[in-house]
Amino acid sequence: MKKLLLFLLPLIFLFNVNLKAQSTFTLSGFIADSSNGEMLFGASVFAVGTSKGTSANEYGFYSLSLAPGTYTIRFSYVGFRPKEVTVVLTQDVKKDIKVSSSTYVNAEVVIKADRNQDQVQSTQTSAISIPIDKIKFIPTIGGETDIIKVIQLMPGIKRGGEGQSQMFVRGGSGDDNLILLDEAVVYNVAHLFGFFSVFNNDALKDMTVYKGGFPAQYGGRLSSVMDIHMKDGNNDKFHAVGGIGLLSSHLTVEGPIIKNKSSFLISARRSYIDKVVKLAYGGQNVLPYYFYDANLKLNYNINDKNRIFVSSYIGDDVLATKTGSDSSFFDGGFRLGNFTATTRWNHTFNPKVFSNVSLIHTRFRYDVEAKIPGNSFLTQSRISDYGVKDDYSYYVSPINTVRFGASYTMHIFRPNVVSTSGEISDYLRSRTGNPVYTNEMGLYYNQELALDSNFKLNYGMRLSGLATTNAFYFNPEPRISAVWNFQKVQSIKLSYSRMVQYLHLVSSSSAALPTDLWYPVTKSIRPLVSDQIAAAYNLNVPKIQTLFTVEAYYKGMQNLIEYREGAVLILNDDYEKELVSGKGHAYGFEFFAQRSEGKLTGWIGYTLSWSIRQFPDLNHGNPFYAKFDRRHDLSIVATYEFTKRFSVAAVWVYSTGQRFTPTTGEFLMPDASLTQVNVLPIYSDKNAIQLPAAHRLDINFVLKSRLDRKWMRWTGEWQIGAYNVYNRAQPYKIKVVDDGNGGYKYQAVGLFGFIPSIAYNFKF
Amino acid sequence: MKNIKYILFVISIATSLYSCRPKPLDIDVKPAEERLVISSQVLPNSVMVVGLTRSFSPLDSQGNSDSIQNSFLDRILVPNAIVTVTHSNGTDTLFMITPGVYASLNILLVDYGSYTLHAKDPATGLEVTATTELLPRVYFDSIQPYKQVVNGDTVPFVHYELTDYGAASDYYVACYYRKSQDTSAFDINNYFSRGSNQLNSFDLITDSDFDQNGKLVRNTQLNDVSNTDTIAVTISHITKGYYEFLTAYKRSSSLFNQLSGEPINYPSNVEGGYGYFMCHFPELRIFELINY
Repeated sequence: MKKLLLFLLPLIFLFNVNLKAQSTFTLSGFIADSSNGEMLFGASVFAVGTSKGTSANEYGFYSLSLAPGTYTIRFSYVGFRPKEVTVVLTQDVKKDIKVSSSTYVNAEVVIKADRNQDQVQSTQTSAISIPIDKIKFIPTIGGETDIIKVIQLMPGIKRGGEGQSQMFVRGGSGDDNLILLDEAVVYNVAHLFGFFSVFNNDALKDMTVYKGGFPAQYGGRLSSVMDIHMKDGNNDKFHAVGGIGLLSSHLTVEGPIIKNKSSFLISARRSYIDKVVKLAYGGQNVLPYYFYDANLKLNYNINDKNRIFVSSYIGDDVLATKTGSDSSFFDGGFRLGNFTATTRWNHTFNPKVFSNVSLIHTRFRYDVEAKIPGNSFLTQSRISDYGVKDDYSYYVSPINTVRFGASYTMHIFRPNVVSTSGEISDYLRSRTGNPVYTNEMGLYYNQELALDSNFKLNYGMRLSGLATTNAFYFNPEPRISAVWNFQKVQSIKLSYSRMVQYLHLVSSSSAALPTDLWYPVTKSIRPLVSDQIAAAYNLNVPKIQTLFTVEAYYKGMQNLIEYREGAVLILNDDYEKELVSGKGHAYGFEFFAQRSEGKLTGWIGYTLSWSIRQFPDLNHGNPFYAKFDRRHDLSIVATYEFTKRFSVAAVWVYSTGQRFTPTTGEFLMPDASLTQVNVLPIYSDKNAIQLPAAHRLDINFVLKSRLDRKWMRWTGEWQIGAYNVYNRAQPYKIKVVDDGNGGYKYQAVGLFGFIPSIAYNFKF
Repeated sequence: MKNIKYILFVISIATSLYSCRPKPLDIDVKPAEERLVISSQVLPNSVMVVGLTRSFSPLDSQGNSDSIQNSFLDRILVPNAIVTVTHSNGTDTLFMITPGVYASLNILLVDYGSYTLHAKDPATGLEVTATTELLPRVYFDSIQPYKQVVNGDTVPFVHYELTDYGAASDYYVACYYRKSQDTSAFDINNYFSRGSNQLNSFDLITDSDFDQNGKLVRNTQLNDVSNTDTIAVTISHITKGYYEFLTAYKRSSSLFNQLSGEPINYPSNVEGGYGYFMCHFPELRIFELINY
């Protein structure tokens, strides 16, 4: 009976509020950037003089129902000049709006106030939206801004080891994060073992990261959702942007196919470490490694009600030592990478109902090959997804928005296909691998209600399921969040969400290696489940254009997976025997202060957190801290614009040291027959020891070309920066060294010290 | 185009020059508390041998990676300890053969007998206690080496058949040895008339490996054994605890495990210490491969 009520409740609300909404007309349309036609996700629409407003969805669509009358409607978006339009509502009105990017205009404060105020008033907790343009000067290793590295500077999101793209959100594991590029899952986000991410900023428009309070349309991972959208492509003029850096270069071209009707974007990037090293070593192919990626996007406006988008990404890391010579002793290498393709159809049924249907394909593969005379070895692994999603937004009234939809994905796993020849086949036999087919489904309903001008409620339910070999799982995932606004600029938010995860990563080490494989849950490995509650206090201070947020969270996690002691995971089809199940919980406090406009912009993020695990088969059954449990994490990010041409950006980060399980003792033990003695290790309690704290300063100077040469289409900027300015080791492992007194001592070593960088970016 | 190459080269060199390796940071990792370590073996004719050593810090063994130096051994081999074994027929005190090795020559060894070891190191005051059980001996139903051509090479195999002892749960270890001329090796069971045992590999066997009639048939390839070597094969009936210890031992010696570095905590029946106190009688077969 209770379950029946739970399902009926949204419909009752919908019906009641719909009755109230009968005497309204609807203003709807799309909000786009006037310079390039890019739709603006999250742009605000507000009826001046009323408390009625809404925001554009991820496709730029908005819908605002109002009583008949004449209104001044203000459209605004961060970094853009607000646009006010008078609308006479005596019937439903469709109005597509284009807003212009703002330089320093008086409206800037207003813009910022609106943006911050949106965040204060939104029911969404634990989410961060980042326009890609806002992060392009933030310094990172190698001089190329990396969206994954930037998100790791936010509170609640912890970095992996130095240079890694792994992230750990609110006490979760590295594989608990759902990363979507135009709705396609990206399974491997790392190039060069994690030093670079696979995302080329030039091709991206915006990104939203959810750490909690998950909207019901998202599911499948416990800890976070990173939803990244590619640019649509300029539908007005041809443009190119690019950059030349020390390690890689990139170029993006976009333009109209049919002006204001359809457009394209093509973006490509390639590293040239291989070429540089080859030059340095007189033509010898000493480091034959490179990575590349390419993005493609096409869109076509069929008519006012229908629009089609096609987007695709392909990228690979390649190490190829093939010499082509019969006399070479070793040939081999690896190739690993992602491919995604998404086709989306936007359809506006009427001014209040918007839908999107997506067909999605994603594939991650790795091939490792080695040949020595008389022997060859090739291993291949694949995961391929084929999916469809159907989403609907129903803007019932300004105080009532409903979203619902369904998704289906077929996952095909084909791990550890091995082909060997020669003597090596005595030890490692060829095999075709065991393909596994699984079907993952989701059905969701989400409703946002403004119960009065100060109190909003957002609640929903996601029903998820997975059918795999000999097992079927079904899980309801309730979601609810609420916001109470007071004194206009302050709010308190609460949220609860359950997330269920049906896939997990089996990693053979803590680094991001090509041998890491995704597997589905099975009959014995049950779906991972998390329940998270979060509470937030928000304060917008328009005078200093700054938003302050303090959040507390608690997350309980069930059916977590760790590796059995001494687990052997490489090329192991029977990996289930190497996994053990347990539970965990994480809690913490986050502080975030962000200033997005003005000469000085940036943020301060601080996290105080704990993450604890308990597994019957590990650490003698006693609780232990998760590997990435770090008590303190602090990031200070600042950009100061001295002049229109010259700016400086700096990042200072501090984090408590990473945990590890060292050998703290040893003993001699004869083998099974007392014929030889081996030294066996004694380990500390699991993750009981911490490396020293890591902190560093990165800096980036930006000099733009002269702005008064309007006749020149070419504009450029030099970026000169440095990573780890004061050359402090960022500890990632320990080693034993001579202590200078005839004994030995432990030292923690870092991977990178001071690294200068220089890059030239251009646009025409 | 040429200029671009030179510019890139100069930039990369400049980067290399200015990139500094950061100074490592000292870190204090508290060593595990020193404890006694037990190993043991029983031999036919009422002989029990117990190894008694001390655990040590990983920093102590640095520089001893290739060969264990005498001074280091002196520190960890426990001399003049009081080692007793209590069983159904009373308590025997073991005598010291050499520092770290203690023996009793007339201990009563009976099937399903329970044996409790107590050892005290007078120098440090450390004490340990461990209890084990002697399980009945098992025998191969049949065993025979043979040779087979694999990828063009003739390699030796051992074929053997075994019947499950039939208790509720049984555990076994089969060991494969090659005769070695290295007589300096630590070797209590010297199966060969000349030379000493060199353990090549071992198989761990549980009830689940037997068919429904309680029969096991194995064909094991002997790696690193030539067709003219002398080999020994033993089968022992062992306790569950020792089986788990050997399982961890085998996992830790896997190359893949050494690459991934996943920690392993070795099970132990030694209260207050490390290692494993076990007693089992192996059945032994010796073969001259040249005859097969």
